[in-house]
Amino acid sequence: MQFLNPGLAAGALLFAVPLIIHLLNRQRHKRRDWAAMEFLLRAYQKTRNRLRNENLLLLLLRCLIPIVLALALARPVLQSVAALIGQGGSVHHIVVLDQSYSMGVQRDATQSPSERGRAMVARLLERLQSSPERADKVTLVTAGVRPRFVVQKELNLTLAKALWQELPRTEDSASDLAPALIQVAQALEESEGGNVQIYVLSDLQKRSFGKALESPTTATAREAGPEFVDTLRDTIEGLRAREGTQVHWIDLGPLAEQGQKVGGTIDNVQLTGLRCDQPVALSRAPLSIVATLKNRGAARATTQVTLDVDGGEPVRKQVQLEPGAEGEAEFQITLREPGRRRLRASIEQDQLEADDEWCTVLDVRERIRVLVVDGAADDDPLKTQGYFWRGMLDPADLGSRTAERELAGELGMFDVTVVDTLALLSGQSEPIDFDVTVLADVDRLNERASDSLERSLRAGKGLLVTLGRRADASSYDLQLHAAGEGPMPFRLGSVSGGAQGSSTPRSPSIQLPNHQTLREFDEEVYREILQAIPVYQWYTTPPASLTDRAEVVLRLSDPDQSPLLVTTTFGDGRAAFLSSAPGSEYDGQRWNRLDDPFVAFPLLHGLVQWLLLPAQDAFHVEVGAELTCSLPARPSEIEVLLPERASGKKLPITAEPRALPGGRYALPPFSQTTMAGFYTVELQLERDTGKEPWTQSFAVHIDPEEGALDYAAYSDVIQALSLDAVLTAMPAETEQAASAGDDELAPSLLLMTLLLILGEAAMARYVSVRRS
Amino acid sequence: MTEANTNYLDPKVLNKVARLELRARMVVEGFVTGMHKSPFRGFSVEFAQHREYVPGDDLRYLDWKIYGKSDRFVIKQFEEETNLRAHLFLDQSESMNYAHDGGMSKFDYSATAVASLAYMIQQQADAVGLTLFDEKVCKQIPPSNTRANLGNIFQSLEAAKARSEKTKIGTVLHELSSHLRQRGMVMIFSDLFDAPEQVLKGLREIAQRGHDVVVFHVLDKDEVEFPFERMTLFQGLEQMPELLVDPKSLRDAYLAEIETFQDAIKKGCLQNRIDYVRVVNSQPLDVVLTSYLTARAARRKRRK
Repeated sequence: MQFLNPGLAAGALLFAVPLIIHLLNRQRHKRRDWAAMEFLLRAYQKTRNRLRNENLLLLLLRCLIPIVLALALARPVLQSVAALIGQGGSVHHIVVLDQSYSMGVQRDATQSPSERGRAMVARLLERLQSSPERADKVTLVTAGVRPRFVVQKELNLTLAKALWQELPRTEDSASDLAPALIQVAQALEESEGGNVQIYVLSDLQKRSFGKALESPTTATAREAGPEFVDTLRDTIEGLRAREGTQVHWIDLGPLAEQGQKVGGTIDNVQLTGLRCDQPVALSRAPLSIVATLKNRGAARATTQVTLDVDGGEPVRKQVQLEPGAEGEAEFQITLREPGRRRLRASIEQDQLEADDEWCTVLDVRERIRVLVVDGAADDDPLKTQGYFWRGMLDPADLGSRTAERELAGELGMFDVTVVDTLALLSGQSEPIDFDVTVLADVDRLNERASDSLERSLRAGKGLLVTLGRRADASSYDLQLHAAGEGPMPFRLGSVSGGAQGSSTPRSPSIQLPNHQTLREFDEEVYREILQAIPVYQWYTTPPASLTDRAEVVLRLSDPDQSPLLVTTTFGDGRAAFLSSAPGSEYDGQRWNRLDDPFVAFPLLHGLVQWLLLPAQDAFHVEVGAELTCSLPARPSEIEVLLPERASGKKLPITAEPRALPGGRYALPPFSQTTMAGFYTVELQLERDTGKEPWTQSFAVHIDPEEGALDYAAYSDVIQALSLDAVLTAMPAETEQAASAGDDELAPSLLLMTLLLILGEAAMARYVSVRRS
Repeated sequence: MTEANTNYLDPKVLNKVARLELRARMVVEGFVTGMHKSPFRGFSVEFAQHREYVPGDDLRYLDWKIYGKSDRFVIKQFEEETNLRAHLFLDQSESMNYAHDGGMSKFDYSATAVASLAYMIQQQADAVGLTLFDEKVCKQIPPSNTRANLGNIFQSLEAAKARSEKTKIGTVLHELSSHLRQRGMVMIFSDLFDAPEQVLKGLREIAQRGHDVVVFHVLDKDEVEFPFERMTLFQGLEQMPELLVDPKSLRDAYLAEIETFQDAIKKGCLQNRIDYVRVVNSQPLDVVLTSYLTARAARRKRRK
């Protein structure tokens, strides 16, 4: 037998009250001289046995009343119920609580599933605490961003309870329960056998089951293979197969409160993204900021989207969303100051708070600084690459002076600097000082130049190499390919084709139509034009020399399908290679007609804009991802300011930074990104000239799919995971409610108390009447 | 009479008794008339009434004058004056010391009754004596009709108090019966807390010697009602043990016991032609005495 409220059993000690009263009464007697003592003694001797029996019975009844009442209030349960929380010695209780952000759904000011789950676990711990003699162990696991063992095989239930209560609220993760259960299974494998009760507390959101809810046939078909493996199902089966182990699946979802066991959906409008429509954001230029939304409900929704920049004055837009539809709220803004700006979009708070906000960091530039290293600088000015590129990127610059244009507000997107090859080779011009460096038919490179190019690439700068008749293949192979270690992901072969009119021209063929470099060719007609451009000569590429990181965007229509445009990443930067350099229209020996304005502008503008973006966007990550980036110097005194939803505290990073090639350092990864929002890293860069403060905001966002509040039916879950049942409360509580009349003794004891009270009253009355 | 001597002469009692002086006197006479023939026949005879002659009547009392005048046989009846010797026995054992809250002890109550009766008897020029006893005879004043004797009685009563001794009334009565040579009236005031057989044996012995015995069974109000509610430690008088008990639980049994005891005494008295008067010390003494005397007078009349 076990008590559900064992503390109240102590009330049984009140049985002493009638005894004490009895003894006090005996102490508080009156003294009286008595003459007729003989008769009194005779009367006493005659009635002694009867009186003693009556008094004993009365005292017994009065002592029993508090005992039975206290037992009733302590709610004893028979062994059959107690068995659910373990019998036959110590039990290992393992609780797995879903901490994904869908567990934060709050309807009509009721408790969220997460809050209910935490309260349930707290009650379980209290119950276990009340039976210390059982020596039960607990393992508390949260399935959030990553499985976290709050306590493992802990015997100290007070400590476990304290740690459980300190647990933060739900995380903004979109977790699958499988990883947590796998870790639980692994932990059990390492431990000895015994009675184990596993409680999985989840909201029964369909996506939390992964593929488990799909029928094996469908899943197999979709997977196109017989080796369909469902991790969650297999893990549960493995756990259930373990001797002495029971798995209890407990539904905490919002539908469980309504007793709805057939699943269903709950309305939710969410922000799914925030982007700048322009590939490059420039200060003082109009920007189109687009917040994307999705209505996951079954009814049309109207919501107001608010956008603010760096916490400034917000702008608002009203958006109507059809059921299940996505929508956009577009804001036209102009930012005067360059730098990394923090944009935050939010909608009116609904039942699920986590997906009502989206943050992004926008790198706003003054202009795009392009260094054109002109390999034909010594040629006729109209035939130089400098002339060509200046005309392509900043045609207005050809006619007027920059200062005058700046005053007139007519500055273009690109700030083009043209230098000759010598300036690069001698180090006079450093690519790292520019956003993008264009090696325009440069004949050769030296080590210094290749080093500075590599360094600029690692720092996130862009490199465009166009190869023409002046280029020395061996120099490029040596300096830029560097046996596969350099930024050029292929080796150069020989020059193929022939001068215009001497051979059959070849035309480009688009290999990756969705590649961002071709984003301007968004209509078929432009693509056709591009693919009609003649290419007369080009550098061939040995196919075997192409490395894995090479992306061939354009190929030529020659028999070898020679790559024309190859892109790659190197360090934090991007690089692109045109195996046939475009040239000035005045250059009669140019290798192609890519200078055609219909092609040159969109292609080269797209290329340069793509190149200046970092290879990997380290500043926009999903909840749970690590925050890291490369830094130009060794960082120290690193602190991370958490977003408000994650306490808003500053946490230090004490890990040592990792050195990267090119004298750069990696920011020690910060993995506590459990909530969405801005994480601002503040540190000191240890430069040769001293410490320099450095601040960078990272935008952490949710996985919008977790906002699909679509809940599974109990029958589906039972079938999919081969469970006995899906519960809505902890097993002991469920059993308590379901079989209160069968196994819980409290009602019987209460009835017994009532009978005892009636019996005592009747007995007292009988004795009173008899003695009066 | 000195002031000290009046302690047991409750003015109220005496006042009431005094108003009944004539009746009391007749009652006292009646005590004797009803019980035995006067030893002093023809002395101080006063005519009372006539009645029809019935065969067997003493012809000495035939009124010849009326026979001569009316030719009818009529018997003359006379009021007789007696010469009474009254013995008042008072129990002064420890048990007589008990008194209910705010009341007189049984001893004080009995002593008052004894003093009243002694006074009244002496007033009628009858002889009255007093015997105080517990487990033995403690003091004895022989009967006398002198005022000096009455003073002695009062003084003895004044000086007496309940002693820490047990009652052995049976033994005492047996002892006294041998000393009472002249027949008279014996009035005993006691709670009779002794074995009923012993008590009755003693009474029987006195009665068999021709004494007119009247037993005033004096009990305390508490002893006949047992009104206690709270847990009480009863400390026995007369060397009895003590008992801690809830009085309510014992009331019925106790009352039954005391009732049985009283019934036994009463029954024994009746069998031995002994007057039994149950007296509770909460009753007004005058009422008790008057009631008894009235009842006795009525009984005497019925006998005539």
